[in-house]
Amino acid sequence: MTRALTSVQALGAFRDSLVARRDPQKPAVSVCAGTGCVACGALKLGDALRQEVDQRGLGDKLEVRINGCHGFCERGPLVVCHPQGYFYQRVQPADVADIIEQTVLAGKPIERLQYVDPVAGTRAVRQEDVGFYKHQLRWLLEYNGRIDPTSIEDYIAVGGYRALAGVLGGMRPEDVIALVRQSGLRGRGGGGYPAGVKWAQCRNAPAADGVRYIIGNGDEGDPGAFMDRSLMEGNPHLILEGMIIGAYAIGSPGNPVGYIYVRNEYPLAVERLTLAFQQARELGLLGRNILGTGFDFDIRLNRGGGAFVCGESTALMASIEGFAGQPRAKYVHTVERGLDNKPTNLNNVETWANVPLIVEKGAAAYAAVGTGDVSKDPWGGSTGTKIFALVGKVNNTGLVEVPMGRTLRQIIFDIGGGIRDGRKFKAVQTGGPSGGCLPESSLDMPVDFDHLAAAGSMMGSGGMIVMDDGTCMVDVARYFVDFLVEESCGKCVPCREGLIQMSHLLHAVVEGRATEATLTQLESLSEVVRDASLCALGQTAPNPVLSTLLHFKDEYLAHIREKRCPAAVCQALLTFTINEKCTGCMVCFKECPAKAITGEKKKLHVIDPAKCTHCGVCRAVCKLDAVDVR
Amino acid sequence: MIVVINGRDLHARPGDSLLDLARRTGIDIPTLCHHEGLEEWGGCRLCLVEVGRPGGHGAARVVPACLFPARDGLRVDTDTPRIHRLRAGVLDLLLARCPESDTIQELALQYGVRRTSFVERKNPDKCILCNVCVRACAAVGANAIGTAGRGVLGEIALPFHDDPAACVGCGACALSCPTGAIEMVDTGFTRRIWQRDFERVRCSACGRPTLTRDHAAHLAGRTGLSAESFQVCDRCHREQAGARFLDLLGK
Repeated sequence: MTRALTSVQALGAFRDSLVARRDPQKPAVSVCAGTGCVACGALKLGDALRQEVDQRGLGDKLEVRINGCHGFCERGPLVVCHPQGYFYQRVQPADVADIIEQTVLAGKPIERLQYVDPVAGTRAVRQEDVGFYKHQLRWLLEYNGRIDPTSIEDYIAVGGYRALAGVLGGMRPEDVIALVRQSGLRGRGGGGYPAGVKWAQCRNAPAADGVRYIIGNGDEGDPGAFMDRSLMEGNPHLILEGMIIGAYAIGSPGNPVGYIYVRNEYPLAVERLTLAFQQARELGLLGRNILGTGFDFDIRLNRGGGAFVCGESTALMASIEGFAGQPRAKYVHTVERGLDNKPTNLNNVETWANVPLIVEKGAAAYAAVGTGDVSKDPWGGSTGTKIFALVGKVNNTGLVEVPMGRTLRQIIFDIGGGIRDGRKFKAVQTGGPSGGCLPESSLDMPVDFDHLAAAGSMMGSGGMIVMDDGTCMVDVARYFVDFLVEESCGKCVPCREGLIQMSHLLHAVVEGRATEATLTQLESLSEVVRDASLCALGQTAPNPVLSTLLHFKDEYLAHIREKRCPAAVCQALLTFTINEKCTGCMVCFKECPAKAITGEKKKLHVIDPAKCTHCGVCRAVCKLDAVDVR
Repeated sequence: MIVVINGRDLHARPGDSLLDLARRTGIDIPTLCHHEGLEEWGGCRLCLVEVGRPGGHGAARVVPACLFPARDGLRVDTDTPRIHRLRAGVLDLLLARCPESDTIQELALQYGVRRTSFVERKNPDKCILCNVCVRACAAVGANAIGTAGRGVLGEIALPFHDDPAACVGCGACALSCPTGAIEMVDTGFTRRIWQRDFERVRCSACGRPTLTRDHAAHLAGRTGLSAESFQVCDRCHREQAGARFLDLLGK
């Protein structure tokens, strides 16, 4: 490893030497090794590529790069071939020989591996030709597909740590805070609190012993969300650089140590961050006397033990202190008394990752993207980009980064490619388990902190679950409430006891035992849980229920009045009947566990509704589509 | 520092919570997880009150009086229809958890809840998970009990549900429990609590049973005094101290 860099200038010289050594025209094959692609076999693909390169003795002519998440999970494993930028999808180890021969050696694209737009039928040669990428603005994810996350040199070569050098080399801490404030950056963990305002509060909070803590929250726990994970795995130095800049701005001369809290279910993120810290220390970018400027700061990594509530800032701090992950009331803010009762500035890892970009671009250029006007009021809008995990019944699932203020329709249809299997859009759930379900009438709403909150949902950390007309909204509300029943820490009564009772009420609806009074009780209980709970988990927990009651009340009423689930999801309310397509093959007759089917060979079978347990086995085993469900 | 509670101007002391101030001035706010000798917890949510937004405009917000610090000029209402509704809702939930607790029944009745409108817990005990016992045990310095499990499945338990080794049998948990959920049986010179029998020390003055031998040893360790110092029961200790005091005054 290179010797430590002892000045701001030395970093620039080091970068120049790295760039000079690299030939931008040298062929490179980049393999996405984000979670989705790894699940599709990306690591095997990478091994096969390296093996092929070795066998052909191409080691010095071609570089195989294993990257973090490229985003288009639906089509993994993804490969990009440089310098042409050819984009290949669903690549298998069997394609390796062709990639080397045709693309790397002959410079030609391989048509069968290209992405074909399912609607327009057009072939995409490069990433930017793909609809999924075309409508995005990838600021944070820009280098995810280009650098090796285990190489600090890769990061430095593309301009990494230049923002830090600029800050340490010529900005006062107050100026950094003013810059972040002017940029309009708001907390990406969900709260949307202006980062510059928070930093200033923490910097100005009295710290008798000179100790202030910086924390990066990487405890992403929402079902279906993987934004933070992809950043931590794909570009760990970006987060680290942001945190070092933040530490300089906020100041902790008494104990210059920060924490990053990562859930233990993200072993690769833990590994990549740990390696990144080590590399940064070796280069003099972390630890004592950073870049020879006399500024000290180091980071420790804390692993979370699998509690969803530990994403809540005060529960996270309790967890770092070694206590059970339970939130504390914040009537004295954590910027004044947080971790160990010291002033503490906690931001989500995505928020931290924005900081180097703001320094590089300048506040005005950053704030030019997004909604509202933040020049006078940091609450006046939502600026910059936001990463969303677009999942559910959408054609192009994946990781999406867009400017704040894009509409739900643009995200779901232009980028997401619309609804799967030609079905109809029904709702989108934003903000994780405590978010709300928004109906079709909300599709043209701009996605930013304030619009989502006004619509009864929230930004949350950026989960976006798309639902089609085969989704039962009552069942969705039940699913999220049941999730939160398990994740409630149990400290306060309304969340602990209220959620289990909400679950009982919702189960009554989906099982056909409810009356209209159940809905009244559900609404009044939601008010108690929302207004009386201690932390944001409980306060927002009724959102899925309240938003579905607001937008999809007719579905609740169908379950109650007609004992019918319009989406044919709720098992207890389904009616199975056999239609005239039945040939009397006896398969369902044999498989029915309740012995509810009568019939003879080659004669139409009949289901006895009194015996039927709605298990659906008959429908699953019938090859003739002769079992109807209603 | 003047705080206006229910329209009355009240003088608050630095460090006062709204609950401290209200209790001192005779304003009734119900609590279950609050205990004078322990750090606030903020979990039972019965002490919710409404406070005005700073500057006086915007909707009032709901906060727990036990944790909210008194601030000059703050307007507080402790018994609005909204607060009444929320407390009744919380008590309705607690009654479903602990239908047999007379503490909860009485409080619920004050808020018009005679029977819970929710599904009662199966095999209910009287524990409301307010954590007073755990905090008391920590304050004693024994740290013998804690919470096991999470959320609605949480319970107050010994380590691994069966190791009372750290318990000194002081009974602080049982005595501080607001609902009487912890069983402690004193029979002669034996105390049974947390699956364990403790020997109680015979008071060297009156001969009646006093604190447990383990508790005496624990206190001796914490204070640096001899174990013999803790062999006198509270009553005799007070009498002896009183006599010494009178001696000093020469009476």
